[in-house]
Amino acid sequence: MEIRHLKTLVGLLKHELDDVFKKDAIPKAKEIIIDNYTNNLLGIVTIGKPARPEDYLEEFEKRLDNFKFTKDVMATVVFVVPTTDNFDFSGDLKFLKHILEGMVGYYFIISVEDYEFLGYTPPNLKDTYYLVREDDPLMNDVLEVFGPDYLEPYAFSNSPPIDLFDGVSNYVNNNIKQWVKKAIKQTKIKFESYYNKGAR
Amino acid sequence: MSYEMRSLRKEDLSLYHYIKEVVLLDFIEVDEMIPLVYMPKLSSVDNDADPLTNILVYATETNTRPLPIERGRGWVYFDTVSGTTTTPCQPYTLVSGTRADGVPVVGTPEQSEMVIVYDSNFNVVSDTTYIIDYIDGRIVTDNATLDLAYVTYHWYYVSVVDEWEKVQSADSPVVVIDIFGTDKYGYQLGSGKKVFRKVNLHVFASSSPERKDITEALYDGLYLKSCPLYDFPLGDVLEYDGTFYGRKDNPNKLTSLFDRTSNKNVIGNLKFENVSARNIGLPPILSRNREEVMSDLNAYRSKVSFDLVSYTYS
Repeated sequence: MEIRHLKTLVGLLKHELDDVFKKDAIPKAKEIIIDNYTNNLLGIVTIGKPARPEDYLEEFEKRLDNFKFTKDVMATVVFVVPTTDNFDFSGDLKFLKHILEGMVGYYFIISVEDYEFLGYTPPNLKDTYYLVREDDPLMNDVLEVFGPDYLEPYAFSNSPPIDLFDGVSNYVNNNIKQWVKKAIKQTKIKFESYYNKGAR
Repeated sequence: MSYEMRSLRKEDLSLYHYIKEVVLLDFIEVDEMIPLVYMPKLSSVDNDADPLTNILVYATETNTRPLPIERGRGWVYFDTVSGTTTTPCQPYTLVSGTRADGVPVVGTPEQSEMVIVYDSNFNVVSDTTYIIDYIDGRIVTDNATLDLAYVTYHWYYVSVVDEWEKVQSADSPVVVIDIFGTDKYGYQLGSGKKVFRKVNLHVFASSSPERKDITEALYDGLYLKSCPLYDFPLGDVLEYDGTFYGRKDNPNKLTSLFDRTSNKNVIGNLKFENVSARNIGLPPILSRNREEVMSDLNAYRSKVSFDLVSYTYS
C-alpha cells in the first residue's frame, strides 16, 4: 500500500475496496463465467476449427484475465460486470460471439478437403472445417457429389443466445454489502494504526 | 383434474399480445381488393339439396412480400378505437357482453373493420355469413350460394414469435420474445412475491432504417410503461385453427368477447424496468463472402433487454 492512500479516508477506503474486489469478488466472478463456458459450450462439437468452442477457451480465459472488473470514477469504485457488449470478442473470438448472440439458421459442416474437392479455393488456410448455410448454393454441389447422408448439421445451428456472464450480477448484488463492510473494517484498522503511530 | 396456465405462460402470452397489438400498432399494413380463390382440397361439399351444410374455404392470391400469413404475422383480429392518432395504452374497443361460455365480461369483440369481404360486384358481404382464419388468411363459409370474390384486410407487418427456432419461419422483420430468466423475492411480511423475469426482444430487420424504427418503437413502448397480465380463462384470442375463439358456433360477436380481465393474483400491471436497446453487429465469418451474410437474417439485428416485474399476492 502506498503512503498516499493513507492520507485521505476516501483514498484508503477505495484502496481497500479495490483490494477486496481483487481478492474475493473477481476470482469468484471468473469462476462463474468459466463454469458457464464449460457447461454451455464444451463437449458439444467434436470437429476442429473454427467451429469448436474448446479451441477458444484458452484465449477466452486470457481476455477474462485482462478484463477490467473495477473502474475508478471520482469518489467511487465501480464493479463492472462483463457482458457481450463490453467484453473483448475481437480477433480470434469473433466466432464465439456468433454462438453467444444466438445463431440464426441451419449450418452444415464441410471439411476443407471436400471443399477443395468441389473445386473451391479455401478462403482461410487456418481452418480445417467450414460451416455452410442451408441456403448456400454450394449445398447443391455437396448434395450432388456426396449425397444427403454426408451432411452433418452444426450443433449450435438455430440455437438461442447463451449468456456466459449469467449469474455474475446476482453474485455481486448478493455480496456487495458484505464486501463494503469488510473494506470499511480494514480501512478503520489501518487508519487508526497509522495515526496511532503519530504520523503527520 | 382441472388445468390452468401457469403464471409464466400467462405473462409470456400477455407480453406477446402487448408487443404485437399495442407497441407495434403502427406496423399494420393493408392489402386492398385481393382476389379470393376457392380451395377445393380444403373444402367439403356434400352436394345435397341444402346449401348450408357445406364447408367452403377461400384463400387469397397475393404477391405481397413479406407474406401476410407467415408465422407470427396474420390478419388483424381486433378493431382499434377510431380517431386515435397516437398509440394509447388500450387501443382496442372494449364493450360489455359475454365470453363464449356465457360469463358476462367487459372485453373486446372480433373485428368488423379490419377484414372486409366483397362479392364479384364489389358489394360488401355480411360478416355473419362467414368466419375468418386469421392465421392462414382464409374465409370459411357454410353457404354454397355465397359469391365471395375479393377481400381487403389489415395484417401485421412485423412477425412476432416467442420461440427462437421460429425465426427462420418468416421473412424479416421478425421480433423474437425470449423470456430467459426468473428470480423471485419476498417483498413484505407474510405471503406475496416480487417476480423478476429477464426478457430479450431480438429484432431481425430487413434494412438499417427498418431496424431503427422497430427498435425505437419497442423501446418507447416499454420505457416507463406497463402492460396488463390477462387471465386467459378460455385460452388465447384465436383458436388452434386460426378462428376467433367461440365464433365457430356463435355468429354474435358480442357473446364471444375476448376477456380482458386481469389476473387476480397480481397487484397492478406487469412493469417494464431496466429497458435498454443495442444493435448486434456480427462479423461475417460464417459464410464464404460478405454479400451472402448481408442478405440473411443476421444482417440487421438488434436487441431490446428489460426486466418484467410483478408483485403477487401469494
